[in-house]
Amino acid sequence: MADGATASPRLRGIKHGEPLGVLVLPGWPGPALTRLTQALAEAHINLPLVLLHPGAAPAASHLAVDSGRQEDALGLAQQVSRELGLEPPQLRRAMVALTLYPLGGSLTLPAAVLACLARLDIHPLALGTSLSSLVMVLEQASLARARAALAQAFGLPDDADTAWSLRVIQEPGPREQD
Amino acid sequence: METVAVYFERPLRTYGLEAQAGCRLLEVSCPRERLEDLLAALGALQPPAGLHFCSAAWAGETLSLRACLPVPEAVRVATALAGAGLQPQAPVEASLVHLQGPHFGDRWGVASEALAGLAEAGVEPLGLAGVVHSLFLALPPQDARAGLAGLAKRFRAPDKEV
Repeated sequence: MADGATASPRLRGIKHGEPLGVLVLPGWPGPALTRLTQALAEAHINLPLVLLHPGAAPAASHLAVDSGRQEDALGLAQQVSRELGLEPPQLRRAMVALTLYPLGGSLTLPAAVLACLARLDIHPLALGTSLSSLVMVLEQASLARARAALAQAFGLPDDADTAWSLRVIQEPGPREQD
Repeated sequence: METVAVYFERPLRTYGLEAQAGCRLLEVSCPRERLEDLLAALGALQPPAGLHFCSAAWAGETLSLRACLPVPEAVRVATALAGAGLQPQAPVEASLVHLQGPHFGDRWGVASEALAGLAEAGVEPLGLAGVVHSLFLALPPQDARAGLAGLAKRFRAPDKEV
């Protein structure tokens, strides 16, 4: 059981990806977020996780980027910050995304996962849901403990945890034969 | 073993380019010591409250949880949270656009295309969540039509390719 008071959601899988950096953008308004995402796109920087809340503070907007491009992304964010007079971006390094599925279509799993990890003093930097899964970013140093706790709490099979095995590379333009 | 997919796609293809009316954004701040109460309140809802999408982030010792739900579900959740002493902020009405594509999160330019399309239409989203293959856009209800028109310049759904 994940929690004594409620029926425990059941998970079928858990995966983690490559190391990430996460840009934290406290209070950035919509136009600034649009401008930054455009700059990141022009630099061909992938965004494995995007959670934008225009104007929200202190719980800010978060952009996850591949760690190999995190300094480039930070530089672009700093540039936008300077030009628009915004609070400087923060870059959280050495993060990793952990994906759990299935979501189950309700708020129960996100709340149960957050509570489970909080008992271990693990606080994901950010969490979001897709149609069928839950993705959170947390410190790489917490990954093993988080995985073990979630596996125990939600009855994951022993072989459910695998590194992400699909990498998608988008080309800057169509190939000649296209 | 790693699988690598390489391709170029403009405009971006997506499943579904529609706005779903009748949604509500809820936000609740929950101190760390009340997290079990939050879980109990949500877990006690039977059937569980249906969810479009949610996001959460910690700010110090306080969790900020945001959820986009159908209005009736939002009412149930807000009532349950209030009953647990966790008062959500004033809800915000929204229309939801849910774009689905293959691995949106692994490709550069997807969020940018969405935000640029909305900006060209004069629409500012209430929130955006790009998670795996889903791109959720919560729009002010009165801007949904204009927002869709802006998005249609950047994204293409299969039924629009005929």
